[in-house]
Amino acid sequence: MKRFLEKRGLWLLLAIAVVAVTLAAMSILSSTASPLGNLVGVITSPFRSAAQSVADWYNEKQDYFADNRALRAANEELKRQIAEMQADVRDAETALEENERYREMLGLREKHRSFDLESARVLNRDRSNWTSSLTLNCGTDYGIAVGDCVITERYELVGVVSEAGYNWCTVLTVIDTDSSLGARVFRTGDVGLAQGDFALMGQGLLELSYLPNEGSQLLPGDLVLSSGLGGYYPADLTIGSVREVRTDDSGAASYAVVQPAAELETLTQVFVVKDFEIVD
Amino acid sequence: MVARSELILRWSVYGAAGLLTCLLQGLILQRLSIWGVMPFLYPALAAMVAVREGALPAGAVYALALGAVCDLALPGAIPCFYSVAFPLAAMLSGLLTRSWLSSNFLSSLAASALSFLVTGLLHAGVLAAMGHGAFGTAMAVAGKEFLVTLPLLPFLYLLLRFLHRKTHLYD
Repeated sequence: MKRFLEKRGLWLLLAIAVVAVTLAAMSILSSTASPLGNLVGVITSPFRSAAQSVADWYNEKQDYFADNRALRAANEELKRQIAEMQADVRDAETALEENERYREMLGLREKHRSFDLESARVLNRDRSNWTSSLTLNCGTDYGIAVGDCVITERYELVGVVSEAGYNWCTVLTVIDTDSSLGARVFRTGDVGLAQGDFALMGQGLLELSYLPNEGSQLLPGDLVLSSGLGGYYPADLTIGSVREVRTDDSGAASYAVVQPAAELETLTQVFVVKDFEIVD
Repeated sequence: MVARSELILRWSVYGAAGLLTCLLQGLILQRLSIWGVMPFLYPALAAMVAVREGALPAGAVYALALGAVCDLALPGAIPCFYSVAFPLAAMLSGLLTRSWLSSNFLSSLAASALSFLVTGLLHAGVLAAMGHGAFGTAMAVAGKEFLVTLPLLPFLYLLLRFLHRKTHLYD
């Protein structure tokens, strides 16, 4: 053993170092997936797609036989929410008309949001226990690039593209520890940082930190949106809602625990924001 | 001295076992979730091959190849995580179990547990280095990962024992 380590241990260490450095360098130097990673993704893509189709079919059959009583209760709750929202919409329409009149009076540009979206199907989710990710079925062939936001049809933020191959891309979801983006609390206007936390990731949650006033004004249910500060990500995408406000281990600062709006565990179809323009 | 053709055959067979594990992991296991984690066969595969074939050089080189494939196929905190973690886990588990135990099921189990521990500790280290220090949570995930993989380890052990016997006919 000792003789082996003296004779070949150095070569083995060198081999590990070469592989590690090569992988790291490929990852850093390339704005898309590394050529080898791309190849692995392209080869495995049809298998992932087939397996996901089978899983979707199975889930669909399972859902079909879901508890009828639970569905009825959910239906009643949704009817109540629709009634509340219709009242809100009536108020909002009045406010919008008023706002438009003021804009005309002041000669401001018309407010609009335009997104260049690409529809994508989820091929795979959570390929390891240490990250929260999705693999989508479109990549650089459809103009997807690293850093693009991924949303649901209800403009709920799912995550950000972290790696893009030819016909696939990997999305780190908002609860992943590497995710971090500017956020704004809709009710109070407080701006903070929505980021993944490993302890919360297992529960499907994320944290909202660096809040002014130590988050004392936040209430459970407060809506958290993307702030759009810096122009890197679009503003006003729904990240989630505040679940509770906690104090950190030091006791000096507090942060909010946020429940993501997008149902990350059941997503099958998402949209990649390739480009956007927002005029407020 | 092992003939070159026998060596090529042996490692091709282990490569095929690795491919089979990848298919099982990618197509089935990653869709299962028990206690919020999915079974993860790769650390156990790296450790069990090291127990069977010796930690150095065979086990470590096999683990390095397996780690490189995982790094290319799985998202990770750092791009070369598994290329570092698996050889290290294979070397440690292979060496320790070889020193204390023979290559039976118990030693393969102990080696797998050690491999999960090493991988978990490295994960916790990387998380701490990136400012997400959650050592307790990381070790709990590693422990749960091992426990949910445990029922599959006898099958992996039997597969590797079968392959080992078929490729070591004259040992």
